[in-house]
Amino acid sequence: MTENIAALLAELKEDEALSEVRSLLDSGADPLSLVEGLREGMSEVGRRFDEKEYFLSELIMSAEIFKEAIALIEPHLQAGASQTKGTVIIGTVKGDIHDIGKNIVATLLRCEGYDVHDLGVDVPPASFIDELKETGAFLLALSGLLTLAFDSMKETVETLAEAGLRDKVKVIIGGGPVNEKVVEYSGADAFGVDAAQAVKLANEYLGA
Amino acid sequence: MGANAPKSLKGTQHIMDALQRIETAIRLGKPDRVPVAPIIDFFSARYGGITQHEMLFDVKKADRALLKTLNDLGWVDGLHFSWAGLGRALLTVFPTPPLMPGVNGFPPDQEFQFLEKTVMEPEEYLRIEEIGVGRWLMEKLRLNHPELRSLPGMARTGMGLGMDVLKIKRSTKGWRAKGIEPLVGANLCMIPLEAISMAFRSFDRFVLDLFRYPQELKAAGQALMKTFINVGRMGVMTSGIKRVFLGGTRTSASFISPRQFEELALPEWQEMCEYFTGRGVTPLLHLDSDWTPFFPYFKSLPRGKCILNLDGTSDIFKAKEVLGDHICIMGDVPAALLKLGEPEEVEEYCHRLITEVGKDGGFILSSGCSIPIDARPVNVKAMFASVLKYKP
Repeated sequence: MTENIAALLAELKEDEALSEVRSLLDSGADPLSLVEGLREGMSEVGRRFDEKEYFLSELIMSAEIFKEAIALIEPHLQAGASQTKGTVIIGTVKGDIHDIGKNIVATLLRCEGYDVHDLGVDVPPASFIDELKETGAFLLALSGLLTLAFDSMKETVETLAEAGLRDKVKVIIGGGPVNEKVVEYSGADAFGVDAAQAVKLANEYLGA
Repeated sequence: MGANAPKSLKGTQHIMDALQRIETAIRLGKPDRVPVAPIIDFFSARYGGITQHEMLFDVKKADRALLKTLNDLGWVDGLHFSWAGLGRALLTVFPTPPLMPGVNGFPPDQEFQFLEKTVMEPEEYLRIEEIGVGRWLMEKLRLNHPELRSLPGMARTGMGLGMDVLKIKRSTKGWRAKGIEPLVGANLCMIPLEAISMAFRSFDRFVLDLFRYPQELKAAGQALMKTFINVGRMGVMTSGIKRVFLGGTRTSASFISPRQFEELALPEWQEMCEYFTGRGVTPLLHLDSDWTPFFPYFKSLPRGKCILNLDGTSDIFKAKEVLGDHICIMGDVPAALLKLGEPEEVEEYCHRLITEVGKDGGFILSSGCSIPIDARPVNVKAMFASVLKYKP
């Protein structure tokens, strides 16, 4: 039953996958098992991405189908039935408004089961710190495309240290020109070369 | 030396001028040394003591700042795409005006950034052909450009843009007189699919359209093709520079699959390149993001007549292996290296580019995309000096 949903999602068959979800819900299937089937489908998409069978467009399309299917299932879930894997704070750092990469990472993290707080673009360090304090999140994901963003990433990590949170919070960074050198410069913990890598880092750091 | 190299250069080692050096590399020949041609305006403005706003709106000031930069840090053979004096055009030609330094409260020395907003729905893909590209584009431009909603406003905008063109043309002449060849000047031509993604649909919706409306997207691309080609052709005619900048990011392997590239994007790249090369114009394919898996497709472009310009994300050494005997390769000193690296590291990377990618010719050294605004001057100096120090 859920195998079919997983397969349809992995094959990116949007209409068939959604129709299958509707039909199973109508027949009284356990909504949580449907969510599980969708997650299996997303895992298969991730595997194909790792094997370079799929590219980013396929990841985005699979996330869209996942999101649409969850919207159908959600009204059938009991409150609190769905648990998150953890909380992630994400945003494009101060001085930079590029958000394509950041949005993709946020979407994939949500599909993976994380509670994602997306602070948007041009986010000053203090806003990240406030959100971390408020949510108690342990993972901060910073994005930027301009080289000027490297300085904002550094400033954000320094502000985190000043707030006494550096040891408690892992910081991952990403964006076009970001590499190991930028990790070293900014004081972050790691960088992701693509959105899938960001999800892997989240799973690694949050033990999911 | 490539088959298409000028006869006078065959079997000789005389010192070439910048234009000969660049043209020899484009024709897959081996120049007297590797030419260097970066995108430099963001950096040279700051280094030369002017704001980004001044660089984008005042060509004379931009030229003075660039001259100071070159005098201090070393001469180049070519100037890549030139942003100097393009402020008004950039504010006008995109349906959503970009964040422009010194305009609408955006700080004058901030870096220019594109804003991406959805201004069309998928139902419109087929409408472009029906109502005509000109009318459709004007509808989109008028959404966020009140000055284009009246004839006097349009006339004023047109006059302003015309003046800018003249100023840029004068600048081109000035650089040529100094022995520096503007590679493409501001001759910009957009690949329809790239434009749809960036300027009309926004990236996330564009990607979903690739799956949901592939045929409609293809039709929209075809409808826009002729107009976009004409824009490039006009640029070539007015600037007198017989090369044209074709930018690509959204149709790279960082974003779309080989199947989607082959079916939807490649035909557009081919048509553009064949049109321009057929008229003696060299397309410079400025490819940001990762294009490595797509390299084999570029063998279908006319041999020795295009430039493949990579930004440091694609594997430029693999490009040499796959395409070295087919297309001139250009790149790719990474922005992060120019900002955060040491001069020795920059020199080492340039050395590798010159000896490996430059081996047997067909290579132009350049920045990976642009030299960043906050690059270390010592690193820029090391990059420019490397072509004088090392031979392929």
